[in-house]
Amino acid sequence: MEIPQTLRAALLSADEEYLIALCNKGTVNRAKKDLAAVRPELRQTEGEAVTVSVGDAVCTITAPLGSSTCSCPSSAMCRHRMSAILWLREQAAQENTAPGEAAPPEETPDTAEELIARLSACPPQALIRQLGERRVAALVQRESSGEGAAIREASTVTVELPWIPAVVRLLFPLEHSSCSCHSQSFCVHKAEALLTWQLRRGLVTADSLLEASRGDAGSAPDRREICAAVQTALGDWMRAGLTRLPASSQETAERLAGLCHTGSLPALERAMRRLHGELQSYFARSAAFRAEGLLRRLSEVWRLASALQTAPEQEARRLAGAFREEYQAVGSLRLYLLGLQEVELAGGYAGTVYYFWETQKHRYYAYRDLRPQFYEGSRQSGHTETILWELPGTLRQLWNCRIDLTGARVGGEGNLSSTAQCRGTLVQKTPPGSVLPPQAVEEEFSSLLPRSRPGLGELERLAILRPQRGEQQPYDTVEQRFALRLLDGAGRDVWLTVRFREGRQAMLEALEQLAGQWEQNPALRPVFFGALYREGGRLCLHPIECFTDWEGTP
Amino acid sequence: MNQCISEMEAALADLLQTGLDTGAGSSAAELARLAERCEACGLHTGSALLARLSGLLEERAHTLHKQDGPLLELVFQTEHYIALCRERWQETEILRGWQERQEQDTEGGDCA
Repeated sequence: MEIPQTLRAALLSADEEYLIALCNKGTVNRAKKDLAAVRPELRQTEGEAVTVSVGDAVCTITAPLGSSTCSCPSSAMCRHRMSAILWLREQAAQENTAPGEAAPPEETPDTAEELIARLSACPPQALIRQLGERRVAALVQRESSGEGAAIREASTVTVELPWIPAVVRLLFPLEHSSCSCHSQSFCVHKAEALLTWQLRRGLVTADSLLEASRGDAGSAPDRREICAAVQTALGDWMRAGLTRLPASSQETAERLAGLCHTGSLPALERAMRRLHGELQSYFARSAAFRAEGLLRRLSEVWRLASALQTAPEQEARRLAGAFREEYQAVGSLRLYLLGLQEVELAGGYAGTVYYFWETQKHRYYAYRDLRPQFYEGSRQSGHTETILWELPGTLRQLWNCRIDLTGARVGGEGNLSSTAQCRGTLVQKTPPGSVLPPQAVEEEFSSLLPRSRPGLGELERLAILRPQRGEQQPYDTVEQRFALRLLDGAGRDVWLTVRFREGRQAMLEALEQLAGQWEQNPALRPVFFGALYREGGRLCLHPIECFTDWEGTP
Repeated sequence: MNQCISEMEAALADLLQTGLDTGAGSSAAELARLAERCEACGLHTGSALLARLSGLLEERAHTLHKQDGPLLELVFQTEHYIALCRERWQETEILRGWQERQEQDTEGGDCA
């Protein structure tokens, strides 16, 4: 059999380590097993490539081996290609050995030396730019403290980055290097592995790296580059699939969110953080995780990145969104603190949201006391509530109180600013029924449907319901969910549902107690304040507050 | 129709689970079958999207140099379409439930 010279040299120089670096150990072992059952067939030789059929698949093997292709769906090095390479290597080795003679010394270029030369020649500036200042500083810190990567050199350079965790196998040519994150591009882990190797070899110094990274800090990445990076990551994940998704994808999502932040793309950053939350939920094996939900987040990020990439400058600025809401001065507001709830958002923020009713404009406002949770990867404890607008107490203490604000500033969606220019006066504690007009309380549910549309802001979905009657449902032990069916006079229903979660026990107990009281006393007519949403074919209410004596003392 | 939307969503979720590199072949056949069901349910856009998706997945399985950009674009476009259909269906379903309840109450009232 005639194997082209270049391919023969590549095959003979590829040892086990090199083949594993092209894909992974599992694929190489699987290919060996396949070879015992299926014998590949040589189809044709064209130029420097050889076409081999392995079972149903047709592989074109060429030098460098990483450029070989296969007709199977896999876009990465598959078992068919590996079987074909192993088989061809066997044939090349046999041809090299005449019968009865010992194998002549291989006249192949020294791959290891070539690899070392190629890795040494890689300019550190490009790697530094890819990693960013923070990551370079962490790399230097780890190296100086002796907790750096584990590096093994042979025909390939294997770098283990246990803090991610990721294993990078660098080989010649560099573009065929593999990473346990399954990325087919030159991912950030590969860049980190290569820079660590250069630092360990003394090709660069810690000081020069830190200096170069600081010097590069001013060059913000381009919008299109960021969107392309985001889409590349999403493409890698879609190709690999959820079952083979590496845990390092969480770190990638977080890093890309940070990149969006640096590139002034707040809307994409928020979408990436929501996606990161969904990935965390998957890897934490959360019962609430749904593949459909993750797909929705991926779709949201992809479509936004696509739009940002192609949009002209002005439209792109609109799509990019704003980091902080632009607060507008609205003068005086007469507020009533109707309710509050603790929230933990998928985007990585947590805290308390306070809901107000404005008695003159007849609309809702909110003050969101939220803090990011994504710094240092853990919830920050010991957050103390601040006193706003020079009020005599914290907002929590002023529940069901009337508050007059002067010099108030409000964001586009109705979020109040905590600006020091705003002054608040506590009026008095008042029953909600004497502040909110009867038309703000829904006794008839037909008008609620348009207000539950997905995509509407939270404040637009707020509603106060006074049902005619309620039907408590058996507690769902599988979904761990409490449900109370609220009905208006015409039999239209809204489902009040609360899923059990840490910190919600008191709320569930209060709701169960209320449902029991209502059953005993149908004239109780409690009032529910919450946010509307849809689930399945049902209109639902997420409760924020319940009032058993709407007109009386709160 | 909801059954059809759910099946579409499940098929896309399956594709996400297995990944394009391994599950594309079997997904192509499933999506082609679903495209016919969508047409029968009156989801013409859904049917067209799924047929194109099935075609691209089938093509991908026999392509040496895979270009996944258009395929991914279509996957996420289909997901968006499903979300919009689901929103519409939910609205119809809630109204239907209310209507049924009112009719039951009226009938109950008439009997009484």
